[in-house]
Amino acid sequence: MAFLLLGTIFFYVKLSSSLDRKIKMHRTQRVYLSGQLSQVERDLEKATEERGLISKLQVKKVEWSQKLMDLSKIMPDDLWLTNLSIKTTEKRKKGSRDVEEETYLTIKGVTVPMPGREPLDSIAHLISSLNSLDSYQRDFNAATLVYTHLSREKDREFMEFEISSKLKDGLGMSREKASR
Amino acid sequence: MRSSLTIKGMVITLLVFFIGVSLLLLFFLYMPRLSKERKDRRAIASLDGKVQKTIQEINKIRQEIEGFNREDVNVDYFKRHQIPPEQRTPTFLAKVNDVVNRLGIKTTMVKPLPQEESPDYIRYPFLVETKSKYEEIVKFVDSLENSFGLNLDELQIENDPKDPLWHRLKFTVSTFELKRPESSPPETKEEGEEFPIQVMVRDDIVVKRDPFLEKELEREKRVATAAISKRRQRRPPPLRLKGIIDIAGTKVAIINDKIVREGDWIARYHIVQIGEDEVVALYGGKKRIFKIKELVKTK
Repeated sequence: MAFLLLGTIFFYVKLSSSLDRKIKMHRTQRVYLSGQLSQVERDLEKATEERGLISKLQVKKVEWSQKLMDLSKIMPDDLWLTNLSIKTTEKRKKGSRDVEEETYLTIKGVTVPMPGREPLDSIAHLISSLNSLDSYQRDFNAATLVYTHLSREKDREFMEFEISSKLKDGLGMSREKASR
Repeated sequence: MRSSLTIKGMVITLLVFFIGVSLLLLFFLYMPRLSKERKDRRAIASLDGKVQKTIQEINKIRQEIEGFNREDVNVDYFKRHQIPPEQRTPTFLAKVNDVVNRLGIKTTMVKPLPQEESPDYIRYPFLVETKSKYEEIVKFVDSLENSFGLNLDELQIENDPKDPLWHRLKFTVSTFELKRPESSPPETKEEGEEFPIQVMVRDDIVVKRDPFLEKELEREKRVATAAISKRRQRRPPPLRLKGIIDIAGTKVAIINDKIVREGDWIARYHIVQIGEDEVVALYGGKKRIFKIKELVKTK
């Protein structure tokens, strides 16, 4: 009976020490996995930040070459341009300290009155042609007339004009200001 | 009778004691450990699952970032082309110069603007100014957009009333570089090795009308310039080959006081081969050979 008792005690002690070894091994494994998890969580955070930053910095393609090519196709005969510019301006949001950027395409030009055609017709024709161009429609809001001014030079009448169009949100210089 | 009872009682007592000890060992020694071991195993499986899930998420994001880099975006442009920091501006200038030479644009100014640094990235802006015809402007812009994969900011085209055929083009182009301290630095290239930026200039771009020119004036000017360019085409511009230098196995030639390599363009000549004492170039598809110190006279 004594042997049986000792045998049983030995059996349980042996079994328990085996479990202790396993528990010890598991503890090491848990410490390692916890470390790995916090490392991968940090990596995930960094990768998410990086992705967010790239998306923010990524200037979505506004293909100017195509637009410039298209512009030459739609020009009315009695009209020519003097200036074309893309400028980004900063605007303070109402009731907020945040600043938002707005990019505008500005086209300035001149038209001469021709027999049977009003200068304003040519400007209107240019605006409607611009608004119907796929390459402009994709990236810009509808172009609008800013001003016209009639002037005379060497017995010739000219009408100066300016057209403006806002770049659609999320396109162009959608970047954070480094200085901010 | 008494002794048999005593033995029976002793056996029962011992049996009860044995069972009691076994149960004590089972409940106080084995079971808590078994339960802890099972709990640990579940916790490990859960931790492992979380790690694998997070790794999967990271890989997905990395793939998205790789996708961004494959697209022609202006983020990490220099790193993507393995251009070390000290060679960034010279490489950009050389490539822009290449486009300018191929298009025959005469006046160009490329100015690196101050870098803008934020905690997350550095912005490298360049100001480009040129004066050229509308068709050349379109080809120049197309080449920068498609060869360099960069986008143009703050573009401005202005006509010059004194010289109506030539327009002033001014724009800034920029690339961003993310700050990743853990990432490996870009590989430095051997001296003389070419950078993997292929400059393309499209010859198939034909502009129907110069929108910055009055139509009547354009017609007159086109006739005049066509005659000039026809004369120019007949008479290739003179090139003076002053010398050939071997830099680490790569030959460079000094032509018209400029250093050119094979593949470069100069005064509308495409340099195809630099030999020991001669340079082979193509002008309007025709092969021309220039010898050292030989003044090439135009016919």
